[in-house]
Amino acid sequence: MSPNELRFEHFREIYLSERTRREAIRGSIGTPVAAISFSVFSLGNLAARFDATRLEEPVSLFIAAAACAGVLAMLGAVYHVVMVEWLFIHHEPPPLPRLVEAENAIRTERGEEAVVPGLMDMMAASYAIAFEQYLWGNTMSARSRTRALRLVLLSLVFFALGFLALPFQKMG
Amino acid sequence: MKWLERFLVRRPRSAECGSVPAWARSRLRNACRSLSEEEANMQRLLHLPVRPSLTLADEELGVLIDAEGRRSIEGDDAGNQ
Repeated sequence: MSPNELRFEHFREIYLSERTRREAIRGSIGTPVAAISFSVFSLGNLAARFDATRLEEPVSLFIAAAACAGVLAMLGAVYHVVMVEWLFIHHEPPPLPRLVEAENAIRTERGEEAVVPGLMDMMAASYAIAFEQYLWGNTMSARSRTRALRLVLLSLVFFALGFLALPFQKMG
Repeated sequence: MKWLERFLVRRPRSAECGSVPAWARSRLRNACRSLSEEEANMQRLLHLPVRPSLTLADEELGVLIDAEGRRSIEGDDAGNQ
């Protein structure tokens, strides 16, 4: 295998795998979105059971603070879910007319024997550029997805703390 | 009745740059410029006679932007300056 072929194969493979990873990231947004829905349901339950007329009591204050922190974490999670797909631009290899144009240019400049290696280099360059752009975009998207998941888990923890304190408010 | 086609026919959006609204052109300018620079770097690195001309696909707008479209968006910047 020549260096041209090696470059071509290597970058084509990693470009395709990064493109597949894009779809995997997009598909995995469903988990934080479902958790956010559950978090909203928890907040509703907590708010319905909370007695706001006794806000001067420490337990009530604790529940209110936990609920507020939970809401903030949940809003942060929603923001990051939106950012997973926000302004993502796909990069695709050149269309066929550009390849034919490149083939003709290589043939004219360097002769027939240089056409295949030249085209391979051009395709390897295209795959390399697209791969790097996908890699950067996917890294940012994966970061947003992970932050969304962590924030929604945090909001659920805050709501759980609120629920834990609720019986003490009822007793008081 | 042409407006009805928007609901009844899924037409491919034009790949021409004219279909990219002005506010999106300014947003896409950096992406276009960075891609053109990358292409020029690759051309120098591999001694390519022709630049690899990638296509940008913006899913938010539903448009494909080819090399000519990119040059037009980058040209807006030069015109503004």
